Amino acid sequence: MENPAPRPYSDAKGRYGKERIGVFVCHCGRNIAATVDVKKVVEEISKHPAVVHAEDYDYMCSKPGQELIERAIEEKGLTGVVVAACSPSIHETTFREVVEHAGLNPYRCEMANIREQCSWVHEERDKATEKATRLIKSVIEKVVRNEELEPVKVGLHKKALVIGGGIAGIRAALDIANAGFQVILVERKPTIGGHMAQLAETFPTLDCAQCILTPLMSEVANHPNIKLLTLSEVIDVEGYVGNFHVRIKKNPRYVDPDKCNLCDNCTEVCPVVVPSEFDEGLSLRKAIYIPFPQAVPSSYVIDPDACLGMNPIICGKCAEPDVCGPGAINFYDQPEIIEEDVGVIIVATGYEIYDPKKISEYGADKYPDIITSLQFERLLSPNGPTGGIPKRPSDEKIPKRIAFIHCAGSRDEKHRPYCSHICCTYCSKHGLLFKELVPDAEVYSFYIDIRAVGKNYEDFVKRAQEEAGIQFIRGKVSKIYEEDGKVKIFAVDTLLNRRIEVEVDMAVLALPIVPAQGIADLASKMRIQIDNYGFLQERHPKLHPVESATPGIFFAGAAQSPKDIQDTVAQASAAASKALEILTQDEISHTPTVASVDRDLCSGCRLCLSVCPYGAIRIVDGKAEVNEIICEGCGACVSTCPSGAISLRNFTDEQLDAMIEAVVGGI
Amino acid sequence: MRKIKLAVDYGSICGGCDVAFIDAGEKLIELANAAEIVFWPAVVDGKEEDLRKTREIDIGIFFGAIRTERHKEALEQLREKSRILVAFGTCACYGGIPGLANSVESRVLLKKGYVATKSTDNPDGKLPGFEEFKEAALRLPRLRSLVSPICDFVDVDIWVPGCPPPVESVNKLIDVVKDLQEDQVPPKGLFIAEGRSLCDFCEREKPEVLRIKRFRRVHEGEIKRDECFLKQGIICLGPVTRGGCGARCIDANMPCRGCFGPVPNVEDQGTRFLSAVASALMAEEEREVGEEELRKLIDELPDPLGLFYMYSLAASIINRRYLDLEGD
Amino acid sequence: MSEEFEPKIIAFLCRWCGYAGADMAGTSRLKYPPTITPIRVPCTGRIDMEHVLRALKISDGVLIAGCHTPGDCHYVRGNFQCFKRVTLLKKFLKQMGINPARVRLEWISATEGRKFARVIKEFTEELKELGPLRGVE
Repeated sequence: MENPAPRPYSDAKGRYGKERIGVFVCHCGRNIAATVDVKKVVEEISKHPAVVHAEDYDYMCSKPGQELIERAIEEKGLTGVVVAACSPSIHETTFREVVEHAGLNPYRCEMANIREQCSWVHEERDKATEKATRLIKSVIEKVVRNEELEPVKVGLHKKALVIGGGIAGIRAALDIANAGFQVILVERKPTIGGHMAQLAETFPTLDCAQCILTPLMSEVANHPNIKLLTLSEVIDVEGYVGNFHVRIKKNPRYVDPDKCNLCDNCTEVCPVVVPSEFDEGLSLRKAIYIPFPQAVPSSYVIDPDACLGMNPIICGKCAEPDVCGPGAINFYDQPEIIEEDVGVIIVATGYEIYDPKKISEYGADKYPDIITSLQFERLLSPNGPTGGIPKRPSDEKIPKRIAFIHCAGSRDEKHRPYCSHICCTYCSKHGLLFKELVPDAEVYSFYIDIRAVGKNYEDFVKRAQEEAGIQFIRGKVSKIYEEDGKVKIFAVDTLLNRRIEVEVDMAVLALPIVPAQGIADLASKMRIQIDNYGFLQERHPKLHPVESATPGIFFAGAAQSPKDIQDTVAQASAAASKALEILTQDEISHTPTVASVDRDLCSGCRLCLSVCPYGAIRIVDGKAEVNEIICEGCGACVSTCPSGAISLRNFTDEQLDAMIEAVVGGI
Repeated sequence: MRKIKLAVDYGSICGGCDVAFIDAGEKLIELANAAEIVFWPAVVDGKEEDLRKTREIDIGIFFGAIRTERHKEALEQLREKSRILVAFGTCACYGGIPGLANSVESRVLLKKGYVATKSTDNPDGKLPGFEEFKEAALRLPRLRSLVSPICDFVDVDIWVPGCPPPVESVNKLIDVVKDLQEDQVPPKGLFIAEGRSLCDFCEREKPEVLRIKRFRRVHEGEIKRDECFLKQGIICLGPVTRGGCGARCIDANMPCRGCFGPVPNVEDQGTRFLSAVASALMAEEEREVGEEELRKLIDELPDPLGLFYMYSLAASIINRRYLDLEGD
Repeated sequence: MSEEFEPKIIAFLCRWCGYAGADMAGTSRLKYPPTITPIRVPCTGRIDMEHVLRALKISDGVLIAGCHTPGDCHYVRGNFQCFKRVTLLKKFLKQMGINPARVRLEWISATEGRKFARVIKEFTEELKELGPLRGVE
């Protein structure tokens, strides 16, 4: 029973109703008045059927100028205001506050930009004047159709979810918890600590990594505001900022951390050995194990894939009462689904290193003495497989000649085109530490460029070059292999422009930093974006570096891009502070100029879901529904909706069409 | 009960709208009982004289688009005499398929129709003349420069879209005639169609994210019966087209071509569809795919004018040929 | 065409880039012809092609200026929505005998005041060449 198309947009009859619009034209000193005949504009615009008041003033934004507007609103009973002056990006807020002060809804005020986009760019006075008039007329068309709006408000859960228990997640969780808010910290592995726990010493200060990390880990363990869930993964995220509903799957540990007293009797009886993840495969562990002595939670764990006791007929030795006195082991431990309501989420899922198998010319998968830099960290670590004495894996001899290969896959179009950011500095660290342990060793570092960007990093690299005497060779390595116990490296020295061949005892590959596995899956569950390389895509690289495009979800650490510990910690604290910005509020307020759906017109075709970059639309009872807190008001869904069922508040099709007509002087 | 005076006149028609009435079957008896047919060339014997002489008609039904001056005159006469004017069929409502002619100049059309086609034997290239044939007291009606829907010239009271309107619509219109006998006048602007798009009535599974990977035509490969056409890359105007047709094409595994015209809140069916379908192209993957690849994918779509505006070009915003580019 | 012909251009400027670029042209006091009248929109992705056609019907050319692809859009992919639509619209315009050059899509960032002024000058010249947009009568 509707009227047919076409809609009579240009029907002037009654379009302005009871509107009483005031227009205030600014001279901006001579800035506008020199090119635009302000008096003429006022005269012309006074004839407009919706305008009941028009005047000009030297500086509208000045105190007397603002008072002029307020007085006119009161005396003339204005229903809307157009200020023709500079760009709205400069003074829109100012003038909206002015009209609000005078009792009008701020959305009943709009600006016409007759300075930046008129007087400053045109020279012919009559044409600039005429254009200024048209600009004002088009803004009048908008303002008469502007709804009075109030900010959208909604309550929130004052709790945070932090995904990932590496240094980034730990720092972010502690910051939020210390501010007095509850934090759920979810870690996939049996312990928190992440890669940092594996490191020997950290550049550029050469602090022992564990010494600075483990106190933070215990702080997490003991913090009354932190609920730590290890062996856990986020399986589902619903909702929006302030009101996320999260489902977490907690996998069984098979050892009760409250009962386990770390006696280590269980590992003695366990018959199964597998490579240790913590030692990057350079040592062996049992099927029941503790990843490293300072693990948090402080408890052993059973690896269900390796354990024979999952079938009690075969094994079950560790659970015998004379082995595990406290009876901490339970083979019947089951996975558990935990549901939580949180207000904000911080994603700190960290990194992995690129699979060395994919770079076959470097031979890391074929030869024992070509290792990764993380493996080398373990060799240098006092709690590592060799007790901190860097022995090479093949024959446990201490290498006398060693080479570090920078950019082993980074800045390489065939592998990872980006710079992994930390390798230059850690390779220097490795060289320095190695030289301290083996002073008579020869150390080579093959690099493309040295990128030691960070406070004191350049000095640090200099130290490696000058004090430790590491030979830096600027050249891309083409091939590495091992023969007769010697590792052969072929490269081009691009400074001397010659091919070189170096024979060493061991080579260490600085492989690319890549995002942790499963990040794409997690990102799609949370409706956040990842970039071409799989790292989390921030909302804006400069202005919103720790925020996702989805409000309420923040990033920290190497999940967003390769980072060193300093930057990771800084970003974690930044993410925590952005999270606290939300958590400390009693309700979330959001700009009301968002999309809304006319349910009577919506056919449920779902096209809008495909274009919304924020996941702000969902289908409720077969019709689209916009979540006003998530919607950012871009309008992509409005122009997509084939039914014309969605409109953007204060930027409707009708407004836009009327503005179009007015800018060419059609009204 | 009094009989309702009813007249039907034609614009540019194919005859399909007349045939649509035959589909009403026995219901036609109800129409015959309720109405006195003053004029309806396909149904009763009569001359235009009869219509001209009749002072007032209760319900006038117009088929077809306005192509010639004579169509316009016929329409204006019917409007003047009718209490209620019905735009019956897509051509009357939106210009219909004849409206596609607005994409070429009339002179080009005539040349094509009378000279250029293979089956035409017209060696001298003679075109119809529009001068009066005085000796025969005849004149050929002049072609208007544009095809128009009837609402461009007159007020319309009832709209019955469809090419042709389905039997359900015809039945409803007959009911309107019967109601008139009891002086029940339908609301002005009544649409004998649904207020929502065809998608609302489509049984096919709707995808969570509608992402068109590439456009394909109906003859290219198999068409899945239970999946949204657009998801399969096939242009289907369902989202922008009024429901009420009974989804006959969809049931026959053919996509909607849009004959029911735009949904209520949309003015320009084709452009609205253009905006929508472009959004779905590689949705959520645009950044990865890049401008060049998107441009290629769009170039693969043949004839957007013919596909998006098959029935509504004459009622669209840009509804006439422009003279920037050489005509065909 | 007579020399007096002054084309009318309606410009849709996204508030984050195109509009800010136009502001930058102003702040830099760059001069360009008064042929263009801008309308500020939240994002180029907001622009329905119905608006473009309606604008084209009463002007000689339409300019749309938004954030650079691939990554500058404030709303992630709005610029791409616009790109896809305009690319498809140009095909339609060509079929209707309208020179597709009358609809111009440009990526102009907030710093590209110079580019904005250059685009307006170029577009004005181009439209002068094309003359007024005329339909068949």
